[in-house]
Amino acid sequence: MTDDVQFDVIVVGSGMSGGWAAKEFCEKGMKTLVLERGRNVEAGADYIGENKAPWDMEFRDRVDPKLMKSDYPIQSECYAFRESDRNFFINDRENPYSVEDGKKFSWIRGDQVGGKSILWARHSYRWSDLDFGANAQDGYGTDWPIRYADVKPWYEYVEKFVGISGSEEGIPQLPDSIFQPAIELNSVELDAKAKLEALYDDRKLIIGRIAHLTKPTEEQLELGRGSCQFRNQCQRGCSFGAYFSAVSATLPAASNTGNMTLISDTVVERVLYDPGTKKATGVRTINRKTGEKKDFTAKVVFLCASTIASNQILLNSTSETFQNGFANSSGVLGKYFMDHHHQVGARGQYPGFMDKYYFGRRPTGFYMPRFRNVNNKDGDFLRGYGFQGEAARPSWPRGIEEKGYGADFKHSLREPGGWYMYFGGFGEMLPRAENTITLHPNKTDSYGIPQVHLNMSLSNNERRMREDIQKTATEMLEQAGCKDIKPFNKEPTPGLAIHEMGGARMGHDPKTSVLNAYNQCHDVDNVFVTDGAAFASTACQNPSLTFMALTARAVDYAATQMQQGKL
Amino acid sequence: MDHNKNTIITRRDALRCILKTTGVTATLPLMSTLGACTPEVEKQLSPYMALIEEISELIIPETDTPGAKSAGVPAYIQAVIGSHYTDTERAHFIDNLAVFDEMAHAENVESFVSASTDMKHKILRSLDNQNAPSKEHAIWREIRSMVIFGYYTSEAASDDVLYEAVPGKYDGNVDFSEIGRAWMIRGI
Repeated sequence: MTDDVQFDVIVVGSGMSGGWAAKEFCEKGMKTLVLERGRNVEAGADYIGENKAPWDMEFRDRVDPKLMKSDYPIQSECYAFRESDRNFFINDRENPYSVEDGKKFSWIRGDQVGGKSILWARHSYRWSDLDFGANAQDGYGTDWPIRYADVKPWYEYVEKFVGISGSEEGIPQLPDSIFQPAIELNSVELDAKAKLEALYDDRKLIIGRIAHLTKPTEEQLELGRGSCQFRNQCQRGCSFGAYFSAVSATLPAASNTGNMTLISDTVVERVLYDPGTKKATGVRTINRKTGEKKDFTAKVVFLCASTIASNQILLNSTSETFQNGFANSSGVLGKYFMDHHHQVGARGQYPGFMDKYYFGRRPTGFYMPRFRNVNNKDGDFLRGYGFQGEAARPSWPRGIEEKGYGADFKHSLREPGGWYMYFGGFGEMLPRAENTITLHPNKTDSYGIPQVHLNMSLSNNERRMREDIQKTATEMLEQAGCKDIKPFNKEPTPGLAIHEMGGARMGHDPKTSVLNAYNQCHDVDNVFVTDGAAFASTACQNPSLTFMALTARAVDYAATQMQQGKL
Repeated sequence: MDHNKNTIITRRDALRCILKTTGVTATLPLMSTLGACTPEVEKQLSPYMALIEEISELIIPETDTPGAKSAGVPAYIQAVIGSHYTDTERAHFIDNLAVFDEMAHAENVESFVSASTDMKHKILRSLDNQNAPSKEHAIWREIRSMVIFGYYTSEAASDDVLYEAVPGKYDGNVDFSEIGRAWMIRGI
């Protein structure tokens, strides 16, 4: 099937970034080979947990604790891990990796076509020059070789296709996207918004911007996508195609061109390099079912395997020329590895509004954009954080915590409890050389590929920021009139924000960065890395929208170069 | 309230139709399928099922809506103990169940199941009012938690708290009187 096709491009990975690379290249008429290590997923048919009521599942969506311990000790730490979506999480027992002694890193992974785009929390925020300029401003990391003006047209481009619901706010540090109609804040969130915005002129409480269709375009309808039905069971997969995933949107679009060949169950071991031409010739793969090794060739290779996996492939692609990892003349490959830090904030009881409730299961909450260190240096730390949160009324699970039994107890649970509200911070992590992805010297995985060895810890900057997150969250709940406020600041496990970035950063200087302003390897011009690995800093916003915009932008650049015969 | 309940049931039936006509692959069995334990484990648990049934129904009794027993809670608990518990955890659970009969003995009754309704309530009240960690308190909280979880994730409970398979919209500013009940949420 593939032997007689001369591919223009190989895309490694079929998730958030890979789906975009596939769609863009295919639509430009390029013969595109997409390689996915995980199994195939067919939209709808493979959403095996979808449309199941709690009672349709023998254990009511709980995963067997014995299985969690034996096969999913890491994945089960993810907030979304349940029996109904377990099929979209990787098996930890079969896919080991290594972590520095005395440290923790939880690597949450998909293992299928679509990758984590099936599982993501769908929050989609543009970054601004506050973010792209952060490294230059305070000297941590190296300067991004791009600014908001470079990415803005590509945000617009991907947003029209993806479909982002949200409200126009005109906030400079969180530029508006092209929006479909916003989902509502509820009564209590509106009350808190009014109180807090009156009190703090630097803060806004807005609805979370998520990649859900609320007014689908013709293009989206033609791909079989429809409006959000407010089931909030997104991670099981959505047959309505209402939330964006590679499986619901980019891969079908790529497939429709007839230019895509997608091969699943195929692990990329390394990028192949020809020192004569100083170009990559393709990739070496391992068939996961048969163990057979096979080389594929193409003019251009796009690595979109996820931050950690793309680093792993580059580090493993050694040769006479690149003894310390592919395109690593700078020596920075695998360094400046980052994640967001979270699980810090506060929660409280919100008095009143007992006559108010809501209809539908909203797949988002509220968002409060960054307000620290925006116009003034007003934090005793560098960079900043944003808040995600929610106001809601607890239902029957409160009965488990409380005392009681019998008819009165049962009838008391027919009414929801009083409102609560919480603010949970997502903070930027400084790029630091000591946070690294390397290959373990002896341990290998079941394919014989060296295991990644992850080493990440928080700096005092993040710890000071966390103190401030807890303090401001508590203050705002107080100002909103909350009672029984409980601040929280869990010792963070790196990786669990699932916003890994860095390791193959973009930069101006080939001596200090792996990629140029177009995600192109400084050392090897026909290899591009367009997932989170390319990132020189993390901002505090969820990164997927920027993964997508930078991928589409890099494809546009690469395709132009190819058409001009330069690649 | 009745009006709302009818609406919900209609919507649920409507969903089955929508899913059929749009060709969406869906499994929507009317009844849950329970009982994944091996025959040995089932045999091991069978002497305790009467007690588990009794306690379940006392915690969530039948009122104007179904109780734990007709909601299939005992079978759910049997499945959890049988399949999700390790052999050690299961043995421990069974050992601790003796607490109920021991408390009945202390009241000069042969067993918890054979006690009068008043006596059963007296025992459960004293367990529920305990705060200090103890073997008695632990088994009470363990079984009580399973009963509540099992009940409020059962189809029968959708007569008690509201379930919408496909809400179709989100309205963040509804008068509670228009809904009338708490939403059934997944609880995990």
